[in-house]
Amino acid sequence: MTELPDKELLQLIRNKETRNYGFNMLVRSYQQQVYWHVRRIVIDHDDANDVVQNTFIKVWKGLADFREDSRLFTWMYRIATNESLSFLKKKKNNFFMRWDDVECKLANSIEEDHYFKGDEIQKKLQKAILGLPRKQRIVFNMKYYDELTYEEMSEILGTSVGALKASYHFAVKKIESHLTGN
Amino acid sequence: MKKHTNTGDKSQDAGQIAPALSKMEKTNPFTVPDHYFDRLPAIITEKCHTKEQKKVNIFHWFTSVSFRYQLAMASGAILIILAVVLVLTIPQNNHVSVAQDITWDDVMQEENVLYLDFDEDVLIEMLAEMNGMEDYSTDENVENLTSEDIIDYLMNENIELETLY
Repeated sequence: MTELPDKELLQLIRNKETRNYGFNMLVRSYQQQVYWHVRRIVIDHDDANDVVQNTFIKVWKGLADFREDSRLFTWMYRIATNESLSFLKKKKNNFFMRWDDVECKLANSIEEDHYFKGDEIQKKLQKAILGLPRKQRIVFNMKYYDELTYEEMSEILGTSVGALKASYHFAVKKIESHLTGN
Repeated sequence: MKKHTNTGDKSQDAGQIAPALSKMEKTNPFTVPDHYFDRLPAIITEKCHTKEQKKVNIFHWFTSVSFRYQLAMASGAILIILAVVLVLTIPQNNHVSVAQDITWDDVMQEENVLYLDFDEDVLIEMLAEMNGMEDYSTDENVENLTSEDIIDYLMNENIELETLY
């Protein structure tokens, strides 16, 4: 599939006759990036599927007002992040459930997940990542797996580059400590 | 998929501060059902159109009824809006003079009474009832609760203390 630059995608979408085609191309261009970003936050495939669909529905609704002061990718990533966090917030279904209980449940779900094919070391790594504070976990995933620059992450998360560097640094140290058993 | 070159600060590379992590192969242990990404765009596009179609159907229904009915519905809607606006904007004259008579000391006294009535155990019991918890007395999470936890929860859920009493 030939990927189109954002400008062309937006032109297609803003033209009534090519809007559906343009949006279809946009989804095909970005679906995997968005999906994996979401999946690493919510862990379960079915949940990720729901969040990704909601994300793209919001993108569809928001495209008319998209001002191009940020890149399409940044804008969609931000929507996906917020949708994922909202989803996790809903999972914390009552007052007496602690925030980290949600992550605890997610970590336990990895054991029986049909769509997890990692070995024991990978399981250990994923559980270590789930043990991080939520925002730190997202920062780690975006830097380690998605290999985004700090500047891109800053645009997406609205956090300063310095804070992101610190966040990533602490995340890596915690994960290392978990992996080595220290 | 579009590629993003990593131009981040090298001193932050995992290898320098986390040798065990850096030795691990950076693989994706998660998988998806077969042909998932082939089907996803069509599913999303259909959902977007379904949501739009629902909006269009309501408009289409309105324009398909006779002019008399359209006029009646529009008039009814305008009357309801006017009624709501009037109710919200009519000054409550009988309360104004009372408000003018209340002093700051009166307000502080009333606030103190409210705080004196704030019973943590009663509040926890109410929140347990709201969340469908029948027996929470042995729950570890409850034992570890502080007043700050309760206040944070109330603020996050936009629950005003006054609505619980």
